[in-house]
Amino acid sequence: MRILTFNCGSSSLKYRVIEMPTERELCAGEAQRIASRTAEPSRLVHRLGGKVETIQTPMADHADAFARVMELLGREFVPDVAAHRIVHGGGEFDRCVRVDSATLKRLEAVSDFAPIHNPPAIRLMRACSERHPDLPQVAVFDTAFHATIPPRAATYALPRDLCTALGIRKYGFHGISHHYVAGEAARTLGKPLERLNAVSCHLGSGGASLCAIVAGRSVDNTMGFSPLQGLVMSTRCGDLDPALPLRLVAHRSARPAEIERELNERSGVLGLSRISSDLRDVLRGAQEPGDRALDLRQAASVYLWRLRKYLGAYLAVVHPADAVIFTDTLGETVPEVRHAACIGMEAFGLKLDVSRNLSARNLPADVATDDSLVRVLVIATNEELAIAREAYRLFCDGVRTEQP
Amino acid sequence: MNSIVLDPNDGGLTSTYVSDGRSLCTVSAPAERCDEEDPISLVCSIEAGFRSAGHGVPHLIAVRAIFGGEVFPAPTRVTADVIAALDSLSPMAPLHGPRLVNLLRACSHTWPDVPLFVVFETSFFVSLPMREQRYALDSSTAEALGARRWGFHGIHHEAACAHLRRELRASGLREIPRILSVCLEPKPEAAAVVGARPVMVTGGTTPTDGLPGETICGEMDPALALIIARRMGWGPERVNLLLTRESGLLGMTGRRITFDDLFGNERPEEELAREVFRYRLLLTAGAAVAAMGRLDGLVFSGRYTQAGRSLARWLGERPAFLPQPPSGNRIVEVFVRPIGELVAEAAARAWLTQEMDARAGAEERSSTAIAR
Repeated sequence: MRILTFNCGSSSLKYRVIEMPTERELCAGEAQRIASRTAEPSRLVHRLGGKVETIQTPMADHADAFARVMELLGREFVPDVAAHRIVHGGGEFDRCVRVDSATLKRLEAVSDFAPIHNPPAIRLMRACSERHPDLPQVAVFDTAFHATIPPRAATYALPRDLCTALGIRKYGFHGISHHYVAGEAARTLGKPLERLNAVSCHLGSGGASLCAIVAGRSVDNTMGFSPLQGLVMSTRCGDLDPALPLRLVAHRSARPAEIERELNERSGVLGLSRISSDLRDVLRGAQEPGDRALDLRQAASVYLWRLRKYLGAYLAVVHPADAVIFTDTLGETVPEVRHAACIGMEAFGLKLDVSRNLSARNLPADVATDDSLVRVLVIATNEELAIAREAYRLFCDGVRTEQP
Repeated sequence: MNSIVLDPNDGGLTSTYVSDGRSLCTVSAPAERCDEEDPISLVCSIEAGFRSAGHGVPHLIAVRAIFGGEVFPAPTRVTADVIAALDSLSPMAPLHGPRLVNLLRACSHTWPDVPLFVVFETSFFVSLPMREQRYALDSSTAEALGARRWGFHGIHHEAACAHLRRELRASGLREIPRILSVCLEPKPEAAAVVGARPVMVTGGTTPTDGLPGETICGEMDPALALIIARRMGWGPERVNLLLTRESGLLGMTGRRITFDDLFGNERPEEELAREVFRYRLLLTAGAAVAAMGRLDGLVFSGRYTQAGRSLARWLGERPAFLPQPPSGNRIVEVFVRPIGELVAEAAARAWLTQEMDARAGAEERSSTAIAR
């Protein structure tokens, strides 16, 4: 079965064709600068085998991008199923679902929860069902893995009726990735996922979150109602005194939406360092001579300290932990980040092997000392493969129930 | 030694006559009276009240202040300059600031010959490490808003930790003690303290951050404040009122209850509020272990001692998730001292230090004179 996965950004569309159950990638690519209003035109970057081809082609919206991608796949890679990543399923979806007109209606009802990501994804699914009515579609949710977060962790201390009216609770994000690396960690440790206790650290170059996992299920996530809560991120502030956004509204005489944008797009590592939203630039700059280095060291220390505190908090929740997992760009490639989070955590039974940590290149890697009770695993995430697996499972189960 | 302690708080003004470390007599003026009455006549009536109860002229007047900012890292003797400095801090504490300044003026008018000290809740947290202090905001924005973490129960934390340090030393701990200090007041606050220095605190720029309170929401997704404003069509003041007066235990249970009530009476319909608070405390304890490397002791302070005992039992009985320190058993204590006594002690210590410094200065001057 060939599964075509879609990962919809605000102005991009990543796709991949994966053969299941062999999990072989057939081709992949990304439509970039969709609906570009800048001098640089929209383009498609297509990868096949070792070859990368860049095609300049106008794409007015995600439906257009989808049509170009389907043309490009042509007869050679006709997909059997299209599987979409949906950032926010609201409280509606606790697992992946087949997409039909009823699902689309339910999705539209929760579209507001992720105003940047959900609407283009929904438009894409509509275009897909109009142009390829015979191609089955599956929606896979980043929030679904977190549906098991218990009320004690999901509840904000706000008036109950207001929470009910506005759907206010912790939803959590990056669920597809946390679920995937938890599965890989269980496999590496040779135990069933249902018996894995772990803290998963998804540290992306953009967003980042930690997930507390007990018996293979998510019991907490550092992100909240929206992806703004929790860790310091590239441009998102993460945790902030809730009175401060209100002070900003008053101070700037701004609309709440403008302050939301500022906290999402111009804070975090970028706001702290004022040079880059990429922690790697900040860590590099902190090593260079000059006065600036001191500021950059402090900026990096705010990021690393928040990460460390959350790791401790979640280790207390999942105790006894089998593993701490690091994944995504910063988690996989920046040893300083893992070092700052894990060093001196012997109180939790966690001992980092400093030199293993520095030399972890071939993933998955275990960078804990041999006598550490908690393993420290560096695992490459693969959200597309995770989406394909979920879609495959759903589809096969569906077929099975249709033919008892 | 006798002192009068004045504590301007949300409920009004509480005054305590403290003699040799023990409070003898407490008088409270409700908030409405504080709003209406001239501060000088209010303080005069307090003075008259203590006098008619047979308590003599005190050696010291001590006033508790919520916020002193970076300017006041210690209890301070009140002078005209100090009052001017406090006046300029008022925008950071718009409710407490002006009331404090008026109260101090009234005190120096009523007791012109008695040393007057102001003791700040924030002093303990002035030198919090930068990595803990800072939010991930653009630095000019942070500066404009005064956005940094503070703790607002420093007087309790400092006294409770000093007490626990003595206990830990007596039990044989040789290393610098690592303590989690939890202050249970209407807005609870936890701090991780290494020796006598806090390295982590749940308080924020305002008390809205951190652990949930009786009516304050505590830490939440910061976007929610803005999303609520947008969806409800409310201005920032209305949302702030929601977060500080209508949330917390009140929001979760629909009832106005205290922490002692919540944890003392264990009503089943309030189980979620108990679970939420315990869970947040557990997260804080885990973060504190990460911040300090280990945890030698836990101390609860503040007015809610019943809740403190319940939570101390709950956290103390779970060594599994907070492994024991290598030094031996972890000490878990509930430290019971009223705030008035703690303020009097802090002020007396500051006075003593000041007197000793003055004497040392005088001796130095006279010895220099002799040398000449």
